Amino acid sequence: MDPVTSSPANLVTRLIMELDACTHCGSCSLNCSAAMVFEAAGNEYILPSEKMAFLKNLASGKKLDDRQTRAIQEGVYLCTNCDRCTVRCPSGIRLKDLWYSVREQLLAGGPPLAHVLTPYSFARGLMIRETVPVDEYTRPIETAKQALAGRFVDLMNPDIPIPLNVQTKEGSQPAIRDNTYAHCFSCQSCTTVCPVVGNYDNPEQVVGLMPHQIMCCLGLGLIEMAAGAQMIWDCLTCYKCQENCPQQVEVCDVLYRLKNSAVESIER
Amino acid sequence: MKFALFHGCNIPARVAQYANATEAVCDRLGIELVEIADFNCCGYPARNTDDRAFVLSAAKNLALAEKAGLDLLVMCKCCYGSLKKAEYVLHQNQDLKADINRFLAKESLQYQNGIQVNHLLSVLYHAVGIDRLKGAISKTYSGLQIAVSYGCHALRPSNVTGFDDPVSPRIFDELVEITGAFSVDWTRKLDCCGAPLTGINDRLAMDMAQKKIASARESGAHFICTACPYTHLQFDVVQTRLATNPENGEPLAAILYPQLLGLCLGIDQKALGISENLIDLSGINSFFMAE
Repeated sequence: MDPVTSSPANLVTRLIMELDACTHCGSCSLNCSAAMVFEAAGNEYILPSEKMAFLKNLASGKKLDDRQTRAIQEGVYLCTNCDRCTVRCPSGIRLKDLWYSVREQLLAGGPPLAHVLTPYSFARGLMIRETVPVDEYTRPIETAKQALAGRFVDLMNPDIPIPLNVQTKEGSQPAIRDNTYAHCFSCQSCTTVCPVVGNYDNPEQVVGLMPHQIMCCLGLGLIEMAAGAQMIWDCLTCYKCQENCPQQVEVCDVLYRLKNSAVESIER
Repeated sequence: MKFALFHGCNIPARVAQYANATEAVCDRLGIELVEIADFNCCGYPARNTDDRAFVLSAAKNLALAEKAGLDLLVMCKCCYGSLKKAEYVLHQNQDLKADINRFLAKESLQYQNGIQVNHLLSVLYHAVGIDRLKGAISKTYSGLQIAVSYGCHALRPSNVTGFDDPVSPRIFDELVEITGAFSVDWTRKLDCCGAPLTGINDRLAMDMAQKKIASARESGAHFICTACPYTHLQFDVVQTRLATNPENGEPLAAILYPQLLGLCLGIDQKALGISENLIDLSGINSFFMAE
């Protein structure tokens, strides 16, 4: 059955039959590539068998509360699209197709989801981008970026003085646990070699803060400003900055830590 | 010579010809590849949001290989970088290692840094060796110019990955040149293919791919040679999308390294999945000297 040419009614019928065909045997979850992410994050909806049980309930008209919506949205997204669940399903259910369609519905209706800004989105960019309307495709990306930017725009307002006496609790921010940025002497090598910065005529407007400016922010304790910059989500993780730093600042790893802490802050 | 083959998530779902070609080449060279069914995601996509989920995913794979007593052969550069990074982090942070091992103990596994993580290219270059490869080749290309794409996550950070010289790498070039092809010098050889932002910032990801393709074309390359599923998909699927705009020029086909080498070893085109790449690369056959 082709998702593009088949009649929508037939597609829905097949979907309902597939939900009904699931015996909750757990073969999919035993072979799930993201099983360790479930172990770390504790969200059972990461496991395919639990997503199926949930979708069955949903199809039978069950209403969701906010917490459940968030959990299922995250669970459906934290999938590496390896297709192993589909390969291993003894009932022959095409689980991968289910995930693709349910994922788009949950993204459209749910709260901003930080995981959209991770390589979990690779398959969506490769295979889904061409099949859904442009605004439906980009909206989840834009809302996640906005939510993660926090107060960045206000903090960057040139009329407001930068507070230089920021108090941070020791160890409370993952970004400051590792302080290699303290060795930065602002030579700007990281920014000079960064292919993202190099891609634009006006990088400051596009990425908010350039890599050396982020290191400088961290040195001044301006963690919220650093973690709100678009740059951290536009980072290609090519590690050129880190490789070229004469002071062994772990620039790319610091950006990774900032991403982790920005996500933690919207989840709290 | 025996390794545990690490497929990762992308290859089985989207670049199956890479695994098939790798297996065919290894078989020909007498490298035994063992499948470990319990391997899971290398952790790479989790790094942006949850560092612990990343290390845990990676560590389970390392522990499984350790239990089997086998070194890893990894085909994906991003999986390779991720597993090397986890190894590095676990070596540096003993508290994290203890925490991770508590999790792994539930599955009767433990990680004690007992195995080596290798990329396919490193195995061919270091373990098999250039001389043995040359000896196994039955026909060579003539006049073929290849642009090798090294792959960021194998090259950098070099103190973690230990793949090759990060500024002036040679492994990939030498592996290409034993086939009789010429490895061209091109300005964007060591640059990013854009894949990490596909699905996140597609415009930027396509700009990166487009710049690399233009640079390879300028250097006179007939093909871009890849050894990573992400890079391959950028130059195959994403490039097909770019090619719909005539301003971007004619597509420059990508060939996976085991496909390039496999043809010279006399392996059947079908086994190497030559026709499974989206952008046609059958033209490569015209570079074999008439016998």
